[in-house]
Amino acid sequence: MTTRTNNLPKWTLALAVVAAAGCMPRGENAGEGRATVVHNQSVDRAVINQPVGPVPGPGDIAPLANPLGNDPTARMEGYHLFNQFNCAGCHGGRGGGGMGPSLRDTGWLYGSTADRIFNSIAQGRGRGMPSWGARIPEKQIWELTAYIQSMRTDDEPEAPR
Amino acid sequence: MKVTRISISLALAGALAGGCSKDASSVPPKLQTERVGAVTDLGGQPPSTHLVSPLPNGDWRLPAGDYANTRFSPLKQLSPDNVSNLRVITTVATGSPHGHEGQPLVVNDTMYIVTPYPNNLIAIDLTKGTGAVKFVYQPHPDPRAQGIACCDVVNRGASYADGKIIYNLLDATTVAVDANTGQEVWRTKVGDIDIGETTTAAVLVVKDKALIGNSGGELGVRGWIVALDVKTGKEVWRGYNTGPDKDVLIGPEFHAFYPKDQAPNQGVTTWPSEQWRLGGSTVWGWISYDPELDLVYYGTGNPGVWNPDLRPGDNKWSCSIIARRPDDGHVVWATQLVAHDKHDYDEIMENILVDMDWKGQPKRKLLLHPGRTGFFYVLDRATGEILAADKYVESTNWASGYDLKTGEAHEDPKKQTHTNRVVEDICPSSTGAKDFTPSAFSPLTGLVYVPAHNTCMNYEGMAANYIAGTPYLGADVKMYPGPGGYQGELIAWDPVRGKKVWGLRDAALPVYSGVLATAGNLVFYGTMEGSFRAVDARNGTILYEFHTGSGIVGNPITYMGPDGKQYVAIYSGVGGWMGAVAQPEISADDPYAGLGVVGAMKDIKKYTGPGDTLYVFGL
Amino acid sequence: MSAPRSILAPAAPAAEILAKLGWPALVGFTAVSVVMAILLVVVAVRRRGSFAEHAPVHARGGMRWVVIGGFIIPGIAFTAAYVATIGSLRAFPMTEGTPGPPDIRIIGHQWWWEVEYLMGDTSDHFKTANELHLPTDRPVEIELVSADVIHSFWVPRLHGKVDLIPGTVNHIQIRAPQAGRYDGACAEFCGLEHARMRLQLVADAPADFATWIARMRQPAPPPATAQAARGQAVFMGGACPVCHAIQGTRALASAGPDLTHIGSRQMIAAGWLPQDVATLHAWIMNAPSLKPGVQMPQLTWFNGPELHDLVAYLEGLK
Repeated sequence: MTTRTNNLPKWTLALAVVAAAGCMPRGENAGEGRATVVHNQSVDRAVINQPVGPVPGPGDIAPLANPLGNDPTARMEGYHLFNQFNCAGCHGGRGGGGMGPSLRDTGWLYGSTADRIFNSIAQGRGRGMPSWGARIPEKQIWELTAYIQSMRTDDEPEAPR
Repeated sequence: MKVTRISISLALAGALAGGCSKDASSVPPKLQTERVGAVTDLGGQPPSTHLVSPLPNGDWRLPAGDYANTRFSPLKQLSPDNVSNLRVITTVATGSPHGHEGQPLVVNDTMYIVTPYPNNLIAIDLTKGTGAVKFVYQPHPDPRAQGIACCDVVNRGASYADGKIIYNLLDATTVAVDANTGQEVWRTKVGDIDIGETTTAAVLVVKDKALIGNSGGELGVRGWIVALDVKTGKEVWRGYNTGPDKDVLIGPEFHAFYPKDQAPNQGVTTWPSEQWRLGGSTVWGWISYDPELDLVYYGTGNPGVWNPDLRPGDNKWSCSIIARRPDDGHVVWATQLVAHDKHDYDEIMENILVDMDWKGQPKRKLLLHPGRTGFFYVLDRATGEILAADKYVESTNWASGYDLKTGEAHEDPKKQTHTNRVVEDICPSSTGAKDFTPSAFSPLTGLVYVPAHNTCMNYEGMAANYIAGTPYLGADVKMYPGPGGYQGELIAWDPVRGKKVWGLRDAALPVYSGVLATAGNLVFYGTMEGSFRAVDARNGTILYEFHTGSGIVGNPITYMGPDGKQYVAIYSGVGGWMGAVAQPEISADDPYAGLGVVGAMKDIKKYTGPGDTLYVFGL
Repeated sequence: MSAPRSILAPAAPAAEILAKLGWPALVGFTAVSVVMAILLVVVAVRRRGSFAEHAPVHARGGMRWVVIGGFIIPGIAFTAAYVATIGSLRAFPMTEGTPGPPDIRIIGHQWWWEVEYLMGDTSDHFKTANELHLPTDRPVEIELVSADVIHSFWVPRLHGKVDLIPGTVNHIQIRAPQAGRYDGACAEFCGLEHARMRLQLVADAPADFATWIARMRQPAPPPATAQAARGQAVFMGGACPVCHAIQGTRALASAGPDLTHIGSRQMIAAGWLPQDVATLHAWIMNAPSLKPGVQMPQLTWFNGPELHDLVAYLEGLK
């Protein structure tokens, strides 16, 4: 009795693999979404534990550094939010000032560090700066802060010419 | 008044303070000024004119002096023969280094100054030597109003009536102060700063009513004019400028001249859904009154959101001239000058009321309105018909002219703005061929003296998200000087012939002050770099020039002092929409800042800085 | 319905043209695939001998298989498919030439559909979101634009896909002669939540459509019950007016969907969740947990009664 072995040449296997790959549905070109994926979950969960309005008691509760770090997507998102929440209308199309003071220059009434800018946006200020802490999520305030701190640096998105 | 050492040092201190706050790295440049136009004097007879409310005496009791907004004074002690001997008699510091856009009042030998925010009222006794302070009234307006004033925390002046000085605070409140004692008589809240309303305009008192209009067209407010009882401050009537006819106070008496303005309820039907509630059409400029026709006239501002694609329709009654009866506020006629505004061409400019011979008709009742649009409109103030609309700034290109039969502009479609499209080289810019700074009319020359600009812009419409109390714009705007090598011009304009007679062109900066004309054939105005000038009204020769400590954005007045001599007073304190770029809070490297003006004004920091001084000049 | 987004169950003339192409394609190419599969299986399982037993008799043996099976049959099939496709394209009701003023403008956002009705006078225009109604008795011109990235508008039972491309305006004409509710979806990958960017298209008989549009043109009436009034106060006092509009109130923002008639929409979250009390609660409190990456933030600072009142108010906005 002769044993039969499967004598299909090896190239048929290769062809089958290629054919299978060719028939698989190909994803279309990825659209450029503006969503940040990575930071979403962790910062939003922090909202439950972080007050976003003025809190009585000593010192600032907000962290010192921007949790979004040096993320260019955060800066770009901040630029979009700067227009969407009408910051540009008061502070100038690229933050140069107008109804409100310039955010590009080195003069800061309430502090220039990331947490102090965050607080100015979240709490509002006495001469007409609205308070946003109860109206937009913490992550968006950090994105705005990232954009503001990028002004007059090489990282500024849509820098004015 | 005698000049004393104190006032000289005050004047010097003011000049030095202004100098020290400039860019200290270089000597400030001199503003180049050039005269254009025919050299010969005006020949022939002065035109026959009739003024409806000539100034009765040497006081200045209303913002424009008179009801007709001619800003013409009959005082003629100062003339081209002696004005070169003018000198600073006294100065007063107001304490608020922001734009000083108004003018003081002089009533019964007392001068009244309304400062920019915090809107203090300073009364100066003119009989006491250099002028002692009689009282200071401090109303303490809400500080949050500072953040919603689009164009600096300015105030454009007060009216005197019934023993009271009546003026607006920035926070949508009107106050009446006893002119002798400085006590507050009444205080009425007329608007709501939480939705972006402020009150920067001058109050005009007509008969027994104080007329107040709101500001905030950049924040999507709904424009109105309100009448408060002069004695009690209670609201008598409120006329809106958008919305249904019953809110606008359009009733059976209403008869618009043009068919396009006649249909009912256009304050609703010319807007998509509820956009008329955010429809701007504010009244932040000047109000005139004709006591003979018993009509109040004013112009309205832009139709809310700057991006026109977000509000299809004609958007009535923005950019219109409206005539109302002062007793009940009902509209008698309305003419919209710009339908579906695409460039923020507020038409709140002064309406100068004068009867002049017009193309064969004797003493036609005219309304002269140099428009933001670059067109000098002449209307019949009894009917609202546009009799002429001629370009007074040559670079104007958004429209080629007006069809006087229909009242519509012939717009250039290439200069119309849209979402997500950058339209370049639109002239004039949103700040206009002139802004609100008021012109003057002289019946001796028949000319209107117009403080004009030559500024152009790029404009890109964007999505706009309305959030109450924040700007509602939807436009990215960048301005720059127009062609021709100059950005400002004091134009002497002949309204009957529709032509410029002469002009004084400033190279780098627009002319952003008001103008005063006198029977001494003089015209007074100031430059944005701080020079206060007296000019021969007939031929434009600069006869006197004094460099004050800060740019001039206010309006000169003239009055008779207690010693029987004629004096001229002007604020020196740069600011306002275009002038605020001189202030340290605005950065020059963002041309889109300040609603786009930084692009046109970034050099102003070299010329001047903030100031807060009133100057009085005399012989 | 069993196949809400099936291209093979057309309910409109445009979809029928595509289905006429789709069914033969499906059947034909399935048949070809089956034949190929059978051949492959036959070849794989039939008995083998040694190479010497099966050496080709003719050097060019089997060429008929190649010519007929590899050139002629595919050539005929592809030519027929090509001709049928071109024919379908010409019959497809894209708007020819310069389109007239559109009846509806759809603006694609990440990840929701902004729908502007431009029918009638300027003051009759209104906005809604994620659900659009059409009359059954006439075709409707729709203008398609995008606020951010490329999306694609597709209600499979009614028409083919048309992209919404930033910087360009596309047009489509839709006829939906059978009354009913049709599901659609974004058909161009547009980011994290592309798969949950759905919409509903409702075809109404003319009388129903007239009733619907008259109601939509009205601003929201004042709240009818005390609870709804409290809910309106919660809405106005919080974060909602920063992004949403309810015509007739001071909330007139346009960054998010217009909520003037949210109570009458069958679904929320861009056709992803049914609109009811439970989902509204969950969505308002924590939209990112239901649709990660969505622009609507977590709003965890409402307490229970506030949330109940707010949802009652929204449900009443019919």
